[in-house]
Amino acid sequence: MPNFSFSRLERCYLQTQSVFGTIPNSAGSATVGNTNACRFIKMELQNEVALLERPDKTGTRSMEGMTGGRRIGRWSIEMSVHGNGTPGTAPDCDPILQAIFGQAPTVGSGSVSVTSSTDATPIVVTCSGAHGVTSGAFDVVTIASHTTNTNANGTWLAYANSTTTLTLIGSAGNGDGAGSGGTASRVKVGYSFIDDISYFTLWSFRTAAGLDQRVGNTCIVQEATFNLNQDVATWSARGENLWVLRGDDFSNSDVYQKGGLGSFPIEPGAPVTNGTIIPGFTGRFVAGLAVSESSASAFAANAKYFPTVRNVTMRIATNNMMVKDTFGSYYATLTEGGVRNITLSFAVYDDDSTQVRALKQYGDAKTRVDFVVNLGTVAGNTWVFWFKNVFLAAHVLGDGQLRFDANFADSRATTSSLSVRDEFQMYIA
Amino acid sequence: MIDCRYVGELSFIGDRRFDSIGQRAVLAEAQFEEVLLGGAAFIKEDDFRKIGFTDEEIAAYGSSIGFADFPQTFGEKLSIARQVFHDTRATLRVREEEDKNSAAASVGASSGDS
Repeated sequence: MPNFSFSRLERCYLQTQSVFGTIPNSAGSATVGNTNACRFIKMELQNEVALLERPDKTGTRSMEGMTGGRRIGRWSIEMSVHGNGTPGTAPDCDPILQAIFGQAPTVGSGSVSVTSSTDATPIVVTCSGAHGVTSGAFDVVTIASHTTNTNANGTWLAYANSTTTLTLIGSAGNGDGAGSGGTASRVKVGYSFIDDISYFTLWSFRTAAGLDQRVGNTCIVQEATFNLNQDVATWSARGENLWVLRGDDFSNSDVYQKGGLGSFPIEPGAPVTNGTIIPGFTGRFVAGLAVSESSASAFAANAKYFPTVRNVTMRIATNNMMVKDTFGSYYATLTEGGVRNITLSFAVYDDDSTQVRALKQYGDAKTRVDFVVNLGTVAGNTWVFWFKNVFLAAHVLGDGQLRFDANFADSRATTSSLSVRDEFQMYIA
Repeated sequence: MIDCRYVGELSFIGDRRFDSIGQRAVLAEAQFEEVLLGGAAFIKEDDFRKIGFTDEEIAAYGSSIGFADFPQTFGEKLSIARQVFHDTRATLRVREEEDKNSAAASVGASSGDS
């Protein structure tokens, strides 16, 4: 009797891939291992083979045989947003994140004791020595074990007022934190753009082992979307790939489809996965007049926490694509990239507060705004999304529920200058 | 075999769940290295003891993962433990990269690539 294929019994493995068209291998043996496992919600891996119709007249209205044309693969995946849980360690989904940003993440390090904090808005913490952030610059820091002024605890985009003081952007004090201790840590993983295109290998192993197993060779990311304010925060990504190789079809596959493998591997036996889910409604949404419209210190002092955000969707369209029109090849031969399109959509309950009024005005006047969106509150699993120079869409007042809300749709982030590519940065701390 | 302790948030090795700081595991050396490379934060028992975690601390805060849920002394020990993990993992990654390069070089040599 054949084995059924239960969708719960599928595991995903991700590997960064350094050579276009070559699945990571050692002398033909795939190097996928337990270390590459990543939990996910759902995944699609499929091939598309064009059908070429003969266009000549036949003298009848019937179509006769066609032939196969160019070949390409497509993939998509959805998973909970989950960091590794240990600050400074990249999450299991790191190969996909690298493919979004074009490069490996940077790992921040260093920590210093906190000696005091101000009971003010925003909070300024003073450290016992140099905190390591260049004066006048920003960095993501995590304050822990600070007593009394406990609102200082958490992960923040921080502005270095001096070598020993940090403004926690969007914070508000809840007590005099003089002498109340704790630490300020810069340990985190940070992702930022370069213009290169990175790719990864996406494995799908199903149980029972006799089922058809698959691997997506040379996957590139075309779009990634993060959805906030759900019960469980999720994100999804999709893109193209060179080909989806099937284990059952390995012996019939050509050299391009095999991607350097001499045989199709079996699933690793003890996959290592890390990190827990994030309640999608935990975090912080902070906005302020962009640094480029004012100054770094003004943004740090005036950016405001928005307590009544209803939902947030962050979309990163990389505009990466496979080159599928090379003469002499059925397969894609290269990758290429267009202009990135990073957008932020959100809805905030409409009220007469200064900050909501300011957002509406910025949207109408096309004044640039910087956003810092935190997802999660637990060290090692707090994601910080930093959008710069966002041109807010004019708001739409929604009256589909008891309270009006102001919707700002698909507002695009832009770089501060062409050399820095800083329209969007992401940290896991 | 290596006696080790978990210092991360939540990890699975196969179907074995690790979710408490100080949780024990005994792993073969190769598996210990593989698990670290997979991002699961384990350190050797000796290192764990040297850092000075007490049984009382582990019992009180081992399952606590919030920012302000444990005292600074425990947080500092945890930071040290995680730095040990990072350092060990970095060493393993360097070795893994060297192994990859030497494997690639030997393939190149046997295939006559220059």
